[in-house]
Amino acid sequence: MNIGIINAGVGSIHSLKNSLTLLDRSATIVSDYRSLSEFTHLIFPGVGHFDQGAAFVSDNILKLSLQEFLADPSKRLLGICLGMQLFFSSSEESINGINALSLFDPPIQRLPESEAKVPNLGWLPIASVKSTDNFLKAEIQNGDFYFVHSYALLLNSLSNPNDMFDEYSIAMHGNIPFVATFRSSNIYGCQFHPEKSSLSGLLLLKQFLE
Amino acid sequence: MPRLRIVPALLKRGPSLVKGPSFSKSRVIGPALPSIRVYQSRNIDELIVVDVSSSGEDSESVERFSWIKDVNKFLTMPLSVGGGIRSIEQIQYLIQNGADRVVLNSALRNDPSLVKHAVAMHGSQSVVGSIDVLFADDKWLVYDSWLQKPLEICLPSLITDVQNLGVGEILVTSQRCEGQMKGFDLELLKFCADLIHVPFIFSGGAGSLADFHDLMNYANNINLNISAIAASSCFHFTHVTPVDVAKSLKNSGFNTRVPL
Repeated sequence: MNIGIINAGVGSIHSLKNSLTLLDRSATIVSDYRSLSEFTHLIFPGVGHFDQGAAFVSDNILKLSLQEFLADPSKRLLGICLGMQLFFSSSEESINGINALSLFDPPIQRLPESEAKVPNLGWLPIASVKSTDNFLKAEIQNGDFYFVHSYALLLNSLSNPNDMFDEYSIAMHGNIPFVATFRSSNIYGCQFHPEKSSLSGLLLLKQFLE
Repeated sequence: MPRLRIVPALLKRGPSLVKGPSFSKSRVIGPALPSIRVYQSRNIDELIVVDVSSSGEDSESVERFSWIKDVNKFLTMPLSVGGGIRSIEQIQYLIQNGADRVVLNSALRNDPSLVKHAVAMHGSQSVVGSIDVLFADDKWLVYDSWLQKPLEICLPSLITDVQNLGVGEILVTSQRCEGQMKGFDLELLKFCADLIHVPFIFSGGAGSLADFHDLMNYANNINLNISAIAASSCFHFTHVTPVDVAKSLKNSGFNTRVPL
């Protein structure tokens, strides 16, 4: 197993690296994007502004290398928080309108202000909607997970999530459901921070690495 | 909605934790890193660490915060760090090395452009605006806990300014209750209720489980949604732990996180 962490310069890669160490795994922080083939697993963490992340992934070498990486079904890519959002095309957070990786079409949208405040900050339970026991196994979802974000993939904006995702789970922002985890083929995403979600988070990371 | 968070707030000076009433930093509690490890083992919701170590000549140095690298090795829960943050480099350093959020206090008043820059660079969810409050002359005034004196700034105007800067959460601490362990400042809570629209952490005065219940019952009665309760002395000087508080509140129907 060879785990690579993509350093988009936004947020803490060290927390993630340390969580992996707690799972007895070591990871390399990717420095050369020309070839990602040496890695079996890639993790894309991120915290911060969509535009910064989008600027980072606009690099054509990175885009091509990721495409090549994903073409191999034995490889796995995990996006965390902003990292996950960068798999999509656009975000309402964006000021300059640059698209991100566009691996999926739907936009990332701002969480609506309601009784539930924005940013969505804190621990929430998640509920599996479509499961395959590959990523979010039943026993893992019993814990709460730590979310810290103002933008999300809103469930009601997806025309057909069951077609789009092989498995996914949701969390609630007030009475608005949004995607908490998903897996589509070998692309995995979680909106929360598994590296900050105590035992449940570690178990989920472990599951990604299986 | 997210669970109500119970958050220990630690004051760190060099290798030690310190504490005293009304923001004084007189008493050494114990060594910082081992204490933080205990909180990790207790599986708490979040930790706030305010570094009150002297920064010597360079108030913008990152070295003072280098301890975060050691903490990051074992901490698997959210961490907010503050303590005289003056530069974007310090903020960048903290976030890259494991702080989920930075806590800005004097910068809110003295350097709003730093706050804006932090929000632009790291997102509003990465910035906590911390305001200490004193009641004097029949008014709620902003208190400078570092210099230990009230400022000629009225609370509502600072709260408005801070929210306009885009901070993701506001931490309000009552100076008159802080460290006294005689209960929370419910009058201050009521005053803040209509002013704060972002997630809101309330702090100052916890001394017993009953205090947390009184606070939450009062918040409920005035229809106020508190996101988190921070406490310091209570967790240092009594047998009450954050999980005790979470469980106790949960038993009374409040939406806290009780870890597995």
